[in-house]
Amino acid sequence: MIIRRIIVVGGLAALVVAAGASTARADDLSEYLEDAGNAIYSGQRLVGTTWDGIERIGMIEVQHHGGFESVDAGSVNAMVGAGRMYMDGLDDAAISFVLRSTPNLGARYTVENGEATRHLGRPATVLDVVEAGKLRIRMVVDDSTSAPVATQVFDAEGEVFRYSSMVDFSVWVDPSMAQTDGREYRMMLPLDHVDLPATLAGYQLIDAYAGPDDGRQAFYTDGLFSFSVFTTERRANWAEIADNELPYTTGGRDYLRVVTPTSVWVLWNAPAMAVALVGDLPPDHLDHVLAELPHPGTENWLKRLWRKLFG
Amino acid sequence: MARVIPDPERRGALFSAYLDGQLTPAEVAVVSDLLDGDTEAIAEFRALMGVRRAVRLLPELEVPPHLLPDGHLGDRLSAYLDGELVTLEHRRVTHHLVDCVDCRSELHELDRARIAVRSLPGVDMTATGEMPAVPAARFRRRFVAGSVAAAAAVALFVGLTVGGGDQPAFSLDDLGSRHVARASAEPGFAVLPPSMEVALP
Repeated sequence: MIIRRIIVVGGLAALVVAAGASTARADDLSEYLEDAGNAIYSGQRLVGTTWDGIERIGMIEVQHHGGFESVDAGSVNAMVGAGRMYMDGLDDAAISFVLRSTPNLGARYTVENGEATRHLGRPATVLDVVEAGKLRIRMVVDDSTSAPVATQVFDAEGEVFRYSSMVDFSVWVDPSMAQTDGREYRMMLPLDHVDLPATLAGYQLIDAYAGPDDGRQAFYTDGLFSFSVFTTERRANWAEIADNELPYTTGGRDYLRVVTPTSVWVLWNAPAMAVALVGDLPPDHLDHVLAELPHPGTENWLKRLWRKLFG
Repeated sequence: MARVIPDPERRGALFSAYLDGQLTPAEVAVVSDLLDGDTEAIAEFRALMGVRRAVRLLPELEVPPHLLPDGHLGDRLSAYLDGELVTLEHRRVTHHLVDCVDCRSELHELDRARIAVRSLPGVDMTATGEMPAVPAARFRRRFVAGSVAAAAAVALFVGLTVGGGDQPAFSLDDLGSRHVARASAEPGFAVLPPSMEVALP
């Protein structure tokens, strides 16, 4: 096998010369994210979100290889990547999304190369992701692996909204991570149509899927942040469904929100439907998105009667 | 114990196998040592990653359907549903499904059939006896039936106009898992499955 690999590596080296490929860092955000997605590393990651004084912090063990991340939180272990996730432990689950297409997204962000630094004693580079002249993300990228070893996401006021930092880092990864598994995945196939906007505040609707309770899941991304909007044609008592929910008012409208170390949730009832939004987008983006989605409200009792009787 | 540092020629093969996840733990340890301090090895490793990225970005070779065994996925759909396909084949099948209405339809049918089989009720071997008859006066039955009908009508009206109806069968864990799985196919930063968001005190 080694001889075959030497031939393959030799061929790839020739390709480098022929294509004039460079090992210098790229100018395009998508290439950084691609490199980060394919980085190989393991360690402990501290993650946290601070929003309107609400702070949630978590610590997780991660192994990253081949675009997949294995996350260990004690009694639960999950493997996430390439549209698939399985979880072992408290509630075994395996789900895999069939993707409609690769999004072709506009350049909302630009990358500015920063200075050399060190993280956990390792050579690294600071990169700034800028949106409309404002710093949106500062990340520290490990030079040898391309792993994002520290990130800070800023809100519209320039305050840190979310952060993550590897507090322990190694290039060692369990080789079994790259092996395929024999689980039975629940396959999610894209739907042809969903009654939600094709774009929301600069985020593009990529695809939609069947959701729980005869509902829908619409997935949006701007190439960096992403969120899903879940809808179902029945109103929900979110206070019963969610834990640690808090009131959230934006644009003069009242919602419920749940803040976790890596994501935000906004929950509400629009007339004739329950809506849940979950994602990693910063608060100013979130407010713009909420303004373009169906607003919270109640349904006229006559309309409700008509709908329940005749659909 | 000091590890053997491979010569530069073998180092490239080692890195390549490492990127494919095909090394033994001992070999991974050698790579780990190299990448922790050897600047020449780090440069070579980064160059290899750059090449692999360039190769990934090359346009895919489109195989005309008439050159495939029968143009469709056939038995591979079942393996796909079972999650038994290896990464490369999984990608090919996924791409084919995006473009092929016939195979998507077949996959839907296969998935529905499997769900239907899984949701079949177990056979109740005890439900074979007859219900005993309970004698009752005709007038009392009519009165009770009328009362029940009136109460049901009131409850139906109140339920339709005032009540919120049944609650959706939502759990944030389920919704969060669906989002995390879908989002993992896109570039961006890692988000966690909700069950794993263990907050520190």
